[in-house]
Amino acid sequence: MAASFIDEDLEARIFRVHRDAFRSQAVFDRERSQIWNRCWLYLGHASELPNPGDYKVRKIGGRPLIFIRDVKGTIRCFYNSCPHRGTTVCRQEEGNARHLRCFYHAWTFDTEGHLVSLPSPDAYPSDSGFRERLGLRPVAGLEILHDFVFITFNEQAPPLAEYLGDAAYYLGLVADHSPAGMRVLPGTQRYFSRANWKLGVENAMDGYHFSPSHITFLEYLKSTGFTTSDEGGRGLKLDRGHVVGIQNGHSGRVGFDWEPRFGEAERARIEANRQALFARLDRERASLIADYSRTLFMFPNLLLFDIEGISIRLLEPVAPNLTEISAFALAPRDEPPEATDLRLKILASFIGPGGLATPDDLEAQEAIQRAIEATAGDPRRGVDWNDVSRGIALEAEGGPVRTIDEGRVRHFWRRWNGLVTGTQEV
Amino acid sequence: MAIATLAALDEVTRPVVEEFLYDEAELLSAWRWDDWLALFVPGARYEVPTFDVDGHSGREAQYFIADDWDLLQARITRMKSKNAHAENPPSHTHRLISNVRLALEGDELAVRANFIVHRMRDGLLDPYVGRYEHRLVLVDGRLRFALRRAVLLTEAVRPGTRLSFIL
Repeated sequence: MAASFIDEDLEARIFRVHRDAFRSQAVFDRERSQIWNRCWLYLGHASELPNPGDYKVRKIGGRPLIFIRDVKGTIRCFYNSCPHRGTTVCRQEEGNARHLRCFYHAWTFDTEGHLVSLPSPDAYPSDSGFRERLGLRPVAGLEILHDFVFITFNEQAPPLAEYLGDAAYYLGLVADHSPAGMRVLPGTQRYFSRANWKLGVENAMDGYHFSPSHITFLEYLKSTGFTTSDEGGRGLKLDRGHVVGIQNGHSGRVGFDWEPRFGEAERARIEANRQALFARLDRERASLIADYSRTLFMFPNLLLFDIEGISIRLLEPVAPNLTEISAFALAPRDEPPEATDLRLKILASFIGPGGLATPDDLEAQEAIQRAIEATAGDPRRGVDWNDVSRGIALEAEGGPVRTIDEGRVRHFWRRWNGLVTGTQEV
Repeated sequence: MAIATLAALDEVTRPVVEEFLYDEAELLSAWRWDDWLALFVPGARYEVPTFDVDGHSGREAQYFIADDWDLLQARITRMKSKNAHAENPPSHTHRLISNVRLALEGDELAVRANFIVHRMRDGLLDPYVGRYEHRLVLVDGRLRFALRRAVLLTEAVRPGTRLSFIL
Protein backbone atom coordinates (compact mmCIF):
# COMPACT_ATOMS: atom_id res chain seq x y z
CA MET A 1 0.00 0.00 0.00
CA ALA A 2 1.32 3.43 -0.96
CA ALA A 3 2.38 5.69 1.91
CA SER A 4 -0.06 8.29 0.60
CA PHE A 5 -2.49 8.64 -2.25
CA ILE A 6 -2.46 12.41 -2.11
CA ASP A 7 0.37 14.70 -3.05
CA GLU A 8 -0.20 18.01 -1.32
CA ASP A 9 1.95 21.11 -1.22
CA LEU A 10 -0.02 24.22 -0.33
CA GLU A 11 2.98 26.51 -0.92
CA ALA A 12 3.46 25.15 -4.42
CA ARG A 13 -0.34 25.15 -4.95
CA ILE A 14 -0.32 21.43 -5.63
CA PHE A 15 -2.99 18.94 -4.63
CA ARG A 16 -3.35 15.72 -6.56
CA VAL A 17 -4.81 12.29 -6.02
CA HIS A 18 -3.25 9.10 -7.33
CA ARG A 19 -5.56 7.28 -9.74
CA ASP A 20 -4.92 3.91 -8.07
CA ALA A 21 -7.42 5.19 -5.49
CA PHE A 22 -10.16 4.57 -8.10
CA ARG A 23 -8.78 1.49 -9.87
CA SER A 24 -7.01 -0.78 -7.48
CA GLN A 25 -8.57 -3.87 -5.88
CA ALA A 26 -5.99 -3.63 -3.09
CA VAL A 27 -7.20 -0.11 -2.29
CA PHE A 28 -10.81 -1.32 -2.39
CA ASP A 29 -10.00 -4.12 0.07
CA ARG A 30 -8.15 -1.66 2.29
CA GLU A 31 -11.20 0.65 2.28
CA ARG A 32 -13.35 -2.26 3.45
CA SER A 33 -11.18 -2.85 6.49
CA GLN A 34 -10.18 0.74 7.30
CA ILE A 35 -13.38 2.64 6.42
CA TRP A 36 -16.46 0.47 5.94
CA ASN A 37 -15.68 -1.88 8.84
CA ARG A 38 -14.79 0.95 11.23
CA CYS A 39 -16.82 4.12 10.54
CA TRP A 40 -20.48 4.85 11.24
CA LEU A 41 -22.54 4.18 8.11
CA TYR A 42 -25.97 5.44 7.09
CA LEU A 43 -28.51 2.60 7.02
CA GLY A 44 -31.91 4.20 6.45
CA HIS A 45 -34.63 6.49 7.76
CA ALA A 46 -36.89 5.41 10.61
CA SER A 47 -39.97 6.41 8.57
CA GLU A 48 -39.18 3.64 6.09
CA LEU A 49 -40.45 1.22 8.74
CA PRO A 50 -43.68 2.85 9.98
CA ASN A 51 -45.23 -0.21 11.64
CA PRO A 52 -44.00 -2.76 14.18
CA GLY A 53 -42.68 -5.78 12.29
CA ASP A 54 -41.82 -3.80 9.13
CA TYR A 55 -38.48 -4.75 7.64
CA LYS A 56 -36.31 -4.09 4.60
CA VAL A 57 -33.19 -5.87 3.51
CA ARG A 58 -30.28 -3.65 2.56
CA LYS A 59 -26.61 -4.10 1.74
CA ILE A 60 -24.24 -1.71 3.48
CA GLY A 61 -20.45 -1.94 3.35
CA GLY A 62 -20.83 -5.18 1.38
CA ARG A 63 -22.84 -6.86 4.16
CA PRO A 64 -26.43 -8.10 3.65
CA LEU A 65 -28.53 -6.71 6.51
CA ILE A 66 -32.06 -6.77 7.90
CA PHE A 67 -33.31 -3.29 8.83
CA ILE A 68 -36.33 -3.93 11.04
CA ARG A 69 -38.71 -2.34 13.55
CA ASP A 70 -39.40 -5.01 16.15
CA VAL A 71 -42.92 -5.73 17.36
CA LYS A 72 -42.34 -3.44 20.36
CA GLY A 73 -41.34 -0.56 18.05
CA THR A 74 -37.54 -0.52 18.44
CA ILE A 75 -35.43 -0.18 15.30
CA ARG A 76 -32.82 -2.90 14.94
CA CYS A 77 -30.32 -4.17 12.41
CA PHE A 78 -29.18 -7.78 12.04
CA TYR A 79 -26.87 -9.54 9.65
CA ASN A 80 -29.14 -11.26 7.13
CA SER A 81 -27.41 -14.59 7.63
CA CYS A 82 -28.71 -17.43 9.74
CA PRO A 83 -26.49 -18.01 12.81
CA HIS A 84 -26.99 -21.75 12.24
CA ARG A 85 -25.46 -22.47 8.83
CA GLY A 86 -25.38 -19.08 7.18
CA THR A 87 -28.46 -19.04 4.94
CA THR A 88 -30.15 -15.80 3.91
CA VAL A 89 -32.92 -15.38 6.49
CA CYS A 90 -35.04 -12.69 4.78
CA ARG A 91 -35.27 -13.42 1.09
CA GLN A 92 -37.95 -10.81 0.42
CA GLU A 93 -36.81 -7.26 -0.26
CA GLU A 94 -39.27 -5.95 2.33
CA GLY A 95 -42.28 -6.98 4.33
CA ASN A 96 -43.95 -7.16 7.71
CA ALA A 97 -43.34 -10.08 10.02
CA ARG A 98 -43.87 -11.22 13.59
CA HIS A 99 -41.23 -13.90 13.10
CA LEU A 100 -38.31 -14.38 10.74
CA ARG A 101 -37.86 -17.96 9.66
CA CYS A 102 -34.86 -19.40 7.85
CA PHE A 103 -36.32 -21.79 5.27
CA TYR A 104 -33.33 -24.16 5.26
CA HIS A 105 -33.89 -25.78 8.68
CA ALA A 106 -36.86 -23.70 9.85
CA TRP A 107 -35.02 -21.98 12.67
CA THR A 108 -37.33 -19.16 13.72
CA PHE A 109 -36.44 -15.83 15.31
CA ASP A 110 -38.62 -13.14 16.79
CA THR A 111 -38.20 -9.54 15.62
CA GLU A 112 -35.83 -8.86 18.53
CA GLY A 113 -33.56 -11.57 17.14
CA HIS A 114 -34.20 -14.31 19.74
CA LEU A 115 -34.16 -17.88 18.51
CA VAL A 116 -37.69 -18.87 19.52
CA SER A 117 -38.15 -22.22 17.85
CA LEU A 118 -36.35 -24.88 15.86
CA PRO A 119 -37.47 -28.33 14.71
CA SER A 120 -36.57 -31.28 16.94
CA PRO A 121 -34.66 -29.27 19.55
CA ASP A 122 -34.05 -32.38 21.65
CA ALA A 123 -30.80 -33.06 19.80
CA TYR A 124 -29.39 -29.77 21.10
CA PRO A 125 -28.42 -28.83 24.67
CA SER A 126 -31.53 -28.04 26.70
CA ASP A 127 -30.01 -25.13 28.63
CA SER A 128 -31.02 -21.59 27.64
CA GLY A 129 -27.41 -20.72 26.76
CA PHE A 130 -27.66 -22.58 23.49
CA ARG A 131 -30.54 -20.46 22.21
CA GLU A 132 -28.99 -17.30 23.58
CA ARG A 133 -25.80 -17.95 21.66
CA LEU A 134 -27.65 -18.54 18.40
CA GLY A 135 -29.94 -15.54 18.03
CA LEU A 136 -29.77 -13.31 14.94
CA ARG A 137 -26.52 -11.34 15.05
CA PRO A 138 -27.06 -7.62 15.56
CA VAL A 139 -24.54 -5.20 14.07
CA ALA A 140 -22.00 -3.85 16.58
CA GLY A 141 -23.68 -0.46 16.92
CA LEU A 142 -26.91 1.29 15.94
CA GLU A 143 -27.82 4.88 16.78
CA ILE A 144 -30.55 7.18 15.52
CA LEU A 145 -30.35 10.94 15.12
CA HIS A 146 -33.43 12.88 13.92
CA ASP A 147 -34.79 9.59 12.49
CA PHE A 148 -31.62 9.01 10.45
CA VAL A 149 -30.43 5.51 11.38
CA PHE A 150 -26.69 4.84 11.45
CA ILE A 151 -24.86 1.59 12.09
CA THR A 152 -21.31 0.50 12.64
CA PHE A 153 -19.56 -2.87 12.45
CA ASN A 154 -16.94 -1.61 14.90
CA GLU A 155 -17.40 -2.21 18.63
CA GLN A 156 -14.72 0.39 19.33
CA ALA A 157 -16.33 3.14 17.24
CA PRO A 158 -16.86 6.43 19.09
CA PRO A 159 -20.49 7.36 19.92
CA LEU A 160 -22.41 8.58 16.85
CA ALA A 161 -22.65 12.17 18.15
CA GLU A 162 -18.88 12.31 18.51
CA TYR A 163 -18.38 10.74 15.08
CA LEU A 164 -20.74 13.21 13.36
CA GLY A 165 -19.41 16.19 15.30
CA ASP A 166 -20.49 19.52 13.81
CA ALA A 167 -22.13 17.74 10.86
CA ALA A 168 -25.01 16.69 13.13
CA TYR A 169 -26.24 20.29 13.18
CA TYR A 170 -26.87 20.23 9.42
CA LEU A 171 -28.69 16.91 9.67
CA GLY A 172 -30.96 18.57 12.23
CA LEU A 173 -31.83 21.37 9.80
CA VAL A 174 -33.38 18.85 7.41
CA ALA A 175 -35.36 17.28 10.23
CA ASP A 176 -36.72 20.72 11.16
CA HIS A 177 -38.46 21.44 7.85
CA SER A 178 -41.78 20.62 9.48
CA PRO A 179 -42.98 20.29 13.09
CA ALA A 180 -44.82 17.15 11.98
CA GLY A 181 -41.53 15.47 11.13
CA MET A 182 -40.26 14.04 7.87
CA ARG A 183 -40.95 10.82 5.99
CA VAL A 184 -39.39 8.95 3.12
CA LEU A 185 -41.87 8.77 0.23
CA PRO A 186 -42.53 5.41 -1.47
CA GLY A 187 -40.31 4.58 -4.44
CA THR A 188 -36.55 4.08 -4.23
CA GLN A 189 -34.39 4.99 -7.18
CA ARG A 190 -31.91 2.12 -7.21
CA TYR A 191 -29.29 2.19 -9.91
CA PHE A 192 -25.64 1.54 -10.62
CA SER A 193 -22.75 3.62 -11.75
CA ARG A 194 -19.90 1.83 -13.46
CA ALA A 195 -17.49 3.95 -11.51
CA ASN A 196 -15.72 4.12 -8.16
CA TRP A 197 -17.85 5.35 -5.24
CA LYS A 198 -15.44 8.21 -4.53
CA LEU A 199 -16.18 9.68 -7.95
CA GLY A 200 -19.78 9.97 -6.73
CA VAL A 201 -18.61 11.81 -3.61
CA GLU A 202 -16.36 14.14 -5.61
CA ASN A 203 -19.15 14.90 -8.06
CA ALA A 204 -21.56 15.98 -5.33
CA MET A 205 -18.92 18.12 -3.62
CA ASP A 206 -17.84 19.89 -6.78
CA GLY A 207 -19.76 22.96 -7.92
CA TYR A 208 -17.19 23.60 -10.65
CA HIS A 209 -18.79 21.01 -12.94
CA PHE A 210 -22.31 22.39 -12.56
CA SER A 211 -22.44 24.83 -15.46
CA PRO A 212 -20.58 22.82 -18.12
CA SER A 213 -21.99 19.41 -17.18
CA HIS A 214 -25.60 20.50 -16.66
CA ILE A 215 -25.93 22.97 -19.49
CA THR A 216 -29.11 21.32 -20.79
CA PHE A 217 -30.68 21.47 -17.33
CA LEU A 218 -29.78 25.14 -17.00
CA GLU A 219 -31.29 25.77 -20.43
CA TYR A 220 -34.45 24.00 -19.29
CA LEU A 221 -34.65 26.16 -16.15
CA LYS A 222 -34.05 29.25 -18.26
CA SER A 223 -36.96 28.26 -20.52
CA THR A 224 -39.18 28.26 -17.40
CA GLY A 225 -38.02 31.77 -16.47
CA PHE A 226 -35.31 30.98 -13.92
CA THR A 227 -31.54 31.27 -13.97
CA THR A 228 -29.04 29.83 -11.53
CA SER A 229 -25.36 29.04 -11.10
CA ASP A 230 -23.03 27.74 -8.42
CA GLU A 231 -21.48 31.17 -7.83
CA GLY A 232 -21.57 32.52 -4.29
CA GLY A 233 -21.85 29.18 -2.51
CA ARG A 234 -19.82 28.44 0.59
CA GLY A 235 -18.39 25.12 1.68
CA LEU A 236 -17.66 24.14 5.27
CA LYS A 237 -15.07 21.54 6.18
CA LEU A 238 -16.71 19.65 9.02
CA ASP A 239 -15.31 17.12 11.50
CA ARG A 240 -13.94 13.75 10.35
CA GLY A 241 -14.20 14.40 6.60
CA HIS A 242 -17.86 15.43 6.59
CA VAL A 243 -18.59 18.38 4.33
CA VAL A 244 -21.45 20.73 3.63
CA GLY A 245 -22.03 23.15 0.76
CA ILE A 246 -24.43 26.01 1.43
CA GLN A 247 -26.01 28.11 -1.26
CA ASN A 248 -28.39 30.99 -1.36
CA GLY A 249 -30.57 31.19 -4.45
CA HIS A 250 -28.96 28.17 -6.05
CA SER A 251 -32.35 26.83 -7.00
CA GLY A 252 -35.96 27.10 -6.02
CA ARG A 253 -36.94 24.78 -3.18
CA VAL A 254 -40.37 23.24 -2.92
CA GLY A 255 -42.00 24.53 0.25
CA PHE A 256 -39.66 27.47 0.87
CA ASP A 257 -38.21 29.22 -2.16
CA TRP A 258 -40.35 29.91 -5.19
CA GLU A 259 -39.38 29.66 -8.82
CA PRO A 260 -41.72 30.09 -11.80
CA ARG A 261 -42.16 26.41 -12.67
CA PHE A 262 -43.66 25.82 -9.20
CA GLY A 263 -46.84 27.72 -10.16
CA GLU A 264 -49.04 30.20 -8.29
CA ALA A 265 -50.60 27.78 -5.78
CA GLU A 266 -47.14 26.86 -4.50
CA ARG A 267 -46.21 30.56 -4.27
CA ALA A 268 -49.02 31.12 -1.77
CA ARG A 269 -48.19 27.95 0.15
CA ILE A 270 -44.53 28.98 0.38
CA GLU A 271 -45.49 32.33 1.86
CA ALA A 272 -47.56 30.64 4.56
CA ASN A 273 -44.85 28.01 5.16
CA ARG A 274 -42.19 30.64 5.68
CA GLN A 275 -44.31 32.59 8.13
CA ALA A 276 -44.97 29.45 10.14
CA LEU A 277 -41.28 28.50 10.09
CA PHE A 278 -40.05 31.90 11.28
CA ALA A 279 -42.70 31.86 14.03
CA ARG A 280 -41.62 28.38 15.14
CA LEU A 281 -37.82 28.68 15.08
CA ASP A 282 -35.31 31.38 15.89
CA ARG A 283 -34.53 33.69 13.03
CA GLU A 284 -31.09 32.32 12.14
CA ARG A 285 -32.20 28.69 12.08
CA ALA A 286 -35.38 29.49 10.17
CA SER A 287 -33.39 31.46 7.62
CA LEU A 288 -30.86 28.64 7.21
CA ILE A 289 -33.72 26.24 6.48
CA ALA A 290 -35.81 28.52 4.27
CA ASP A 291 -33.28 30.63 2.38
CA TYR A 292 -30.40 28.24 1.72
CA SER A 293 -29.96 24.98 -0.10
CA ARG A 294 -27.45 22.50 1.23
CA THR A 295 -25.54 19.45 0.11
CA LEU A 296 -24.28 17.48 3.08
CA PHE A 297 -21.81 14.62 2.86
CA MET A 298 -21.53 12.32 5.87
CA PHE A 299 -18.37 10.31 5.50
CA PRO A 300 -18.40 7.77 3.94
CA ASN A 301 -21.79 6.75 2.47
CA LEU A 302 -24.48 9.43 2.86
CA LEU A 303 -25.20 12.39 0.60
CA LEU A 304 -28.11 14.52 1.75
CA PHE A 305 -29.33 16.99 -0.85
CA ASP A 306 -31.58 19.71 0.54
CA ILE A 307 -32.02 21.43 -2.80
CA GLU A 308 -35.09 21.62 -5.10
CA GLY A 309 -36.46 18.82 -2.96
CA ILE A 310 -34.76 16.62 -0.39
CA SER A 311 -32.94 13.57 -1.62
CA ILE A 312 -31.13 11.02 0.54
CA ARG A 313 -28.46 9.27 -1.53
CA LEU A 314 -26.80 6.15 -0.23
CA LEU A 315 -23.53 5.00 -1.83
CA GLU A 316 -22.66 1.31 -1.74
CA PRO A 317 -19.35 0.26 -3.30
CA VAL A 318 -19.56 -3.09 -5.09
CA ALA A 319 -16.15 -3.18 -6.79
CA PRO A 320 -13.45 -0.61 -7.58
CA ASN A 321 -15.34 0.20 -10.78
CA LEU A 322 -18.95 -0.37 -9.67
CA THR A 323 -21.20 1.43 -7.17
CA GLU A 324 -24.83 0.84 -6.28
CA ILE A 325 -26.79 3.99 -5.53
CA SER A 326 -30.11 4.29 -3.71
CA ALA A 327 -31.95 7.60 -3.72
CA PHE A 328 -34.87 8.28 -1.37
CA ALA A 329 -37.18 11.30 -1.46
CA LEU A 330 -37.81 12.90 1.93
CA ALA A 331 -40.83 15.13 2.56
CA PRO A 332 -42.69 16.75 5.46
CA ARG A 333 -45.22 14.35 6.96
CA ASP A 334 -47.95 17.00 6.77
CA GLU A 335 -47.34 18.03 3.16
CA PRO A 336 -50.55 18.30 1.09
CA PRO A 337 -50.80 15.84 -1.84
CA GLU A 338 -50.55 18.52 -4.54
CA ALA A 339 -47.29 19.79 -3.00
CA THR A 340 -45.89 16.24 -2.87
CA ASP A 341 -46.82 15.85 -6.52
CA LEU A 342 -44.89 19.03 -7.32
CA ARG A 343 -41.95 17.94 -5.14
CA LEU A 344 -41.68 14.61 -6.96
CA LYS A 345 -41.84 16.27 -10.35
CA ILE A 346 -39.21 18.85 -9.46
CA LEU A 347 -36.92 16.24 -7.89
CA ALA A 348 -37.24 13.83 -10.82
CA SER A 349 -36.57 16.64 -13.29
CA PHE A 350 -32.99 16.80 -11.98
CA ILE A 351 -32.23 13.75 -9.85
CA GLY A 352 -31.87 10.10 -10.70
CA PRO A 353 -30.91 7.96 -13.68
CA GLY A 354 -33.88 9.31 -15.66
CA GLY A 355 -33.55 12.97 -14.64
CA LEU A 356 -32.41 15.80 -16.88
CA ALA A 357 -29.13 16.23 -14.94
CA THR A 358 -27.96 13.16 -12.97
CA PRO A 359 -27.33 11.10 -16.15
CA ASP A 360 -24.67 13.64 -17.11
CA ASP A 361 -23.04 13.20 -13.68
CA LEU A 362 -23.04 9.43 -14.21
CA GLU A 363 -21.59 9.95 -17.68
CA ALA A 364 -18.73 11.97 -16.18
CA GLN A 365 -17.98 9.40 -13.49
CA GLU A 366 -18.07 6.48 -15.91
CA ALA A 367 -15.99 8.36 -18.46
CA ILE A 368 -13.35 8.94 -15.76
CA GLN A 369 -13.38 5.30 -14.68
CA ARG A 370 -12.82 4.11 -18.26
CA ALA A 371 -10.23 6.72 -19.13
CA ILE A 372 -7.89 6.50 -16.14
CA GLU A 373 -6.74 3.12 -17.44
CA ALA A 374 -4.79 5.25 -19.94
CA THR A 375 -2.18 6.43 -17.47
CA ALA A 376 -1.94 3.38 -15.19
CA GLY A 377 1.66 2.75 -14.24
CA ASP A 378 3.08 5.68 -16.20
CA PRO A 379 6.03 6.65 -13.99
CA ARG A 380 6.38 10.23 -15.24
CA ARG A 381 5.76 12.77 -12.51
CA GLY A 382 2.14 13.82 -12.18
CA VAL A 383 0.84 11.80 -15.14
CA ASP A 384 -1.14 9.11 -13.26
CA TRP A 385 -2.68 11.68 -10.91
CA ASN A 386 -5.87 13.76 -10.85
CA ASP A 387 -5.50 17.46 -10.18
CA VAL A 388 -7.70 18.71 -7.34
CA SER A 389 -6.10 22.11 -6.76
CA ARG A 390 -8.80 24.59 -7.76
CA GLY A 391 -9.00 27.37 -5.16
CA ILE A 392 -5.95 26.13 -3.25
CA ALA A 393 -4.35 29.58 -3.01
CA LEU A 394 -7.46 30.85 -1.22
CA GLU A 395 -7.29 27.83 1.07
CA ALA A 396 -3.58 28.37 1.78
CA GLU A 397 -4.39 31.92 2.84
CA GLY A 398 -7.13 30.66 5.17
CA GLY A 399 -9.88 32.11 2.98
CA PRO A 400 -13.41 30.76 2.58
CA VAL A 401 -14.11 27.51 0.76
CA ARG A 402 -16.11 28.41 -2.35
CA THR A 403 -18.42 25.69 -3.66
CA ILE A 404 -17.16 26.36 -7.19
CA ASP A 405 -13.66 25.39 -6.00
CA GLU A 406 -12.37 21.96 -5.01
CA GLY A 407 -11.77 22.65 -1.29
CA ARG A 408 -14.58 20.33 -0.20
CA VAL A 409 -13.19 17.56 -2.39
CA ARG A 410 -9.72 18.05 -0.86
CA HIS A 411 -11.23 17.83 2.64
CA PHE A 412 -12.78 14.48 1.74
CA TRP A 413 -9.54 13.18 0.28
CA ARG A 414 -7.45 14.16 3.33
CA ARG A 415 -9.81 12.19 5.56
CA TRP A 416 -10.00 9.23 3.20
CA ASN A 417 -6.22 9.13 2.84
CA GLY A 418 -5.74 9.35 6.60
CA LEU A 419 -7.99 6.36 7.22
CA VAL A 420 -6.75 4.21 4.34
CA THR A 421 -3.09 4.76 5.13
CA GLY A 422 -3.70 4.34 8.86
CA THR A 423 -2.49 7.79 9.94
CA GLN A 424 -5.94 8.83 11.28
CA GLU A 425 -8.26 7.24 13.79
CA VAL A 426 -11.99 6.72 13.19
CA MET B 1 -46.74 5.77 -40.92
CA ALA B 2 -48.74 3.43 -43.06
CA ILE B 3 -51.74 3.20 -40.75
CA ALA B 4 -55.09 3.96 -42.34
CA THR B 5 -57.35 6.46 -40.61
CA LEU B 6 -59.42 4.84 -37.90
CA ALA B 7 -63.05 5.73 -37.29
CA ALA B 8 -63.44 4.61 -33.68
CA LEU B 9 -61.37 3.00 -30.92
CA ASP B 10 -63.57 -0.09 -30.81
CA GLU B 11 -62.49 -1.05 -34.31
CA VAL B 12 -58.81 -0.99 -33.36
CA THR B 13 -57.32 -4.46 -33.61
CA ARG B 14 -54.12 -5.91 -32.24
CA PRO B 15 -52.23 -5.68 -35.57
CA VAL B 16 -53.07 -1.98 -35.73
CA VAL B 17 -51.63 -1.42 -32.25
CA GLU B 18 -48.62 -3.59 -33.04
CA GLU B 19 -47.96 -1.52 -36.14
CA PHE B 20 -48.20 1.65 -34.03
CA LEU B 21 -45.70 0.29 -31.47
CA TYR B 22 -43.27 -0.93 -34.14
CA ASP B 23 -43.39 2.41 -35.91
CA GLU B 24 -42.76 4.15 -32.60
CA ALA B 25 -39.78 1.86 -31.87
CA GLU B 26 -38.30 2.74 -35.23
CA LEU B 27 -38.61 6.47 -34.52
CA LEU B 28 -36.92 6.05 -31.15
CA SER B 29 -34.04 3.99 -32.48
CA ALA B 30 -33.60 6.51 -35.31
CA TRP B 31 -33.46 9.44 -32.82
CA ARG B 32 -36.37 11.17 -34.61
CA TRP B 33 -37.56 13.20 -31.63
CA ASP B 34 -40.09 15.57 -33.21
CA ASP B 35 -41.83 12.71 -35.02
CA TRP B 36 -41.87 10.76 -31.76
CA LEU B 37 -43.33 13.63 -29.74
CA ALA B 38 -46.04 13.99 -32.39
CA LEU B 39 -47.34 10.58 -31.23
CA PHE B 40 -48.53 12.16 -27.96
CA VAL B 41 -51.62 14.22 -27.24
CA PRO B 42 -50.78 17.54 -25.54
CA GLY B 43 -50.97 16.98 -21.80
CA ALA B 44 -49.74 13.38 -22.04
CA ARG B 45 -47.34 11.81 -19.53
CA TYR B 46 -44.29 9.57 -19.81
CA GLU B 47 -43.50 7.42 -16.77
CA VAL B 48 -40.95 4.88 -15.63
CA PRO B 49 -41.83 3.70 -12.10
CA THR B 50 -39.23 2.60 -9.56
CA PHE B 51 -39.24 -1.02 -8.39
CA ASP B 52 -40.92 -0.68 -5.02
CA VAL B 53 -43.79 1.75 -5.71
CA ASP B 54 -46.35 -0.87 -4.69
CA GLY B 55 -49.18 0.56 -6.76
CA HIS B 56 -48.54 4.22 -5.87
CA SER B 57 -48.92 6.70 -8.69
CA GLY B 58 -46.13 8.98 -9.85
CA ARG B 59 -47.82 11.78 -7.91
CA GLU B 60 -47.40 9.92 -4.60
CA ALA B 61 -44.21 7.95 -5.09
CA GLN B 62 -40.76 8.66 -6.45
CA TYR B 63 -40.43 7.32 -9.98
CA PHE B 64 -37.39 7.19 -12.20
CA ILE B 65 -39.32 9.29 -14.69
CA ALA B 66 -42.64 11.06 -14.08
CA ASP B 67 -42.78 13.53 -16.96
CA ASP B 68 -45.80 15.73 -17.33
CA TRP B 69 -46.24 17.48 -20.68
CA ASP B 70 -43.81 20.29 -19.77
CA LEU B 71 -41.06 17.92 -18.67
CA LEU B 72 -41.56 15.62 -21.63
CA GLN B 73 -41.00 18.54 -23.97
CA ALA B 74 -37.96 19.62 -21.93
CA ARG B 75 -36.64 16.05 -22.20
CA ILE B 76 -36.95 16.16 -25.99
CA THR B 77 -35.27 19.56 -26.20
CA ARG B 78 -32.44 18.05 -24.17
CA MET B 79 -32.22 14.91 -26.31
CA LYS B 80 -31.71 17.08 -29.37
CA SER B 81 -28.84 19.02 -27.76
CA LYS B 82 -25.23 18.05 -28.27
CA ASN B 83 -24.82 19.02 -24.60
CA ALA B 84 -26.89 16.08 -23.37
CA HIS B 85 -23.57 14.48 -22.47
CA ALA B 86 -25.10 11.19 -21.28
CA GLU B 87 -26.36 10.59 -24.83
CA ASN B 88 -23.56 12.19 -26.81
CA PRO B 89 -22.50 10.10 -28.58
CA PRO B 90 -25.99 8.62 -28.69
CA SER B 91 -26.58 5.05 -27.56
CA HIS B 92 -27.87 2.55 -30.09
CA THR B 93 -31.07 0.80 -29.15
CA HIS B 94 -32.60 -2.41 -30.45
CA ARG B 95 -36.21 -2.98 -29.48
CA LEU B 96 -38.30 -6.14 -29.29
CA ILE B 97 -42.00 -5.82 -28.52
CA SER B 98 -44.39 -8.73 -28.06
CA ASN B 99 -47.39 -10.13 -26.14
CA VAL B 100 -49.49 -7.12 -27.10
CA ARG B 101 -52.92 -7.05 -25.40
CA LEU B 102 -55.59 -4.38 -25.62
CA ALA B 103 -58.69 -3.49 -23.68
CA LEU B 104 -61.14 -0.69 -24.39
CA GLU B 105 -61.69 1.40 -21.28
CA GLY B 106 -64.07 4.28 -21.94
CA ASP B 107 -62.51 6.58 -24.53
CA GLU B 108 -59.05 5.10 -23.96
CA LEU B 109 -57.38 1.96 -25.16
CA ALA B 110 -55.34 0.24 -22.43
CA VAL B 111 -52.38 -1.44 -24.11
CA ARG B 112 -50.06 -3.91 -22.44
CA ALA B 113 -47.00 -5.32 -24.14
CA ASN B 114 -43.68 -6.90 -23.20
CA PHE B 115 -40.42 -5.32 -24.25
CA ILE B 116 -36.72 -6.00 -24.31
CA VAL B 117 -34.69 -2.96 -25.20
CA HIS B 118 -30.99 -3.54 -25.77
CA ARG B 119 -28.85 -0.47 -25.31
CA MET B 120 -25.39 -0.42 -26.86
CA ARG B 121 -22.84 2.13 -25.73
CA ASP B 122 -19.30 2.37 -24.39
CA GLY B 123 -18.51 -1.10 -25.72
CA LEU B 124 -21.27 -2.65 -23.60
CA LEU B 125 -24.69 -4.14 -24.24
CA ASP B 126 -27.35 -3.72 -21.54
CA PRO B 127 -30.75 -5.40 -21.76
CA TYR B 128 -33.76 -3.60 -20.27
CA VAL B 129 -36.62 -6.02 -19.69
CA GLY B 130 -40.11 -4.81 -18.92
CA ARG B 131 -43.71 -4.18 -19.78
CA TYR B 132 -45.49 -1.29 -21.43
CA GLU B 133 -48.71 -0.08 -19.84
CA HIS B 134 -49.85 2.59 -22.29
CA ARG B 135 -53.13 4.49 -22.58
CA LEU B 136 -53.93 5.34 -26.18
CA VAL B 137 -56.61 7.64 -27.57
CA LEU B 138 -57.86 8.38 -31.05
CA VAL B 139 -57.10 11.83 -32.49
CA ASP B 140 -58.16 12.60 -36.07
CA GLY B 141 -58.30 8.90 -36.82
CA ARG B 142 -54.78 8.20 -35.44
CA LEU B 143 -53.64 6.45 -32.28
CA ARG B 144 -51.90 8.76 -29.85
CA PHE B 145 -50.35 8.35 -26.38
CA ALA B 146 -52.26 9.83 -23.43
CA LEU B 147 -49.91 7.94 -21.13
CA ARG B 148 -46.74 6.15 -22.10
CA ARG B 149 -45.49 3.99 -19.25
CA ALA B 150 -42.52 1.63 -19.30
CA VAL B 151 -42.30 -0.62 -16.26
CA LEU B 152 -38.93 -2.25 -15.69
CA LEU B 153 -39.35 -5.82 -14.44
CA THR B 154 -35.79 -6.78 -13.62
CA GLU B 155 -35.64 -8.30 -10.16
CA ALA B 156 -32.87 -5.96 -9.15
CA VAL B 157 -31.58 -2.88 -10.91
CA ARG B 158 -28.71 -3.83 -13.09
CA PRO B 159 -25.60 -1.91 -14.03
CA GLY B 160 -26.36 0.24 -17.01
CA THR B 161 -29.84 1.15 -15.85
CA ARG B 162 -29.36 4.68 -16.93
CA LEU B 163 -32.52 6.09 -18.45
CA SER B 164 -30.96 8.89 -20.43
CA PHE B 165 -32.57 7.44 -23.56
CA ILE B 166 -36.26 6.60 -24.02
CA LEU B 167 -37.20 3.16 -22.75
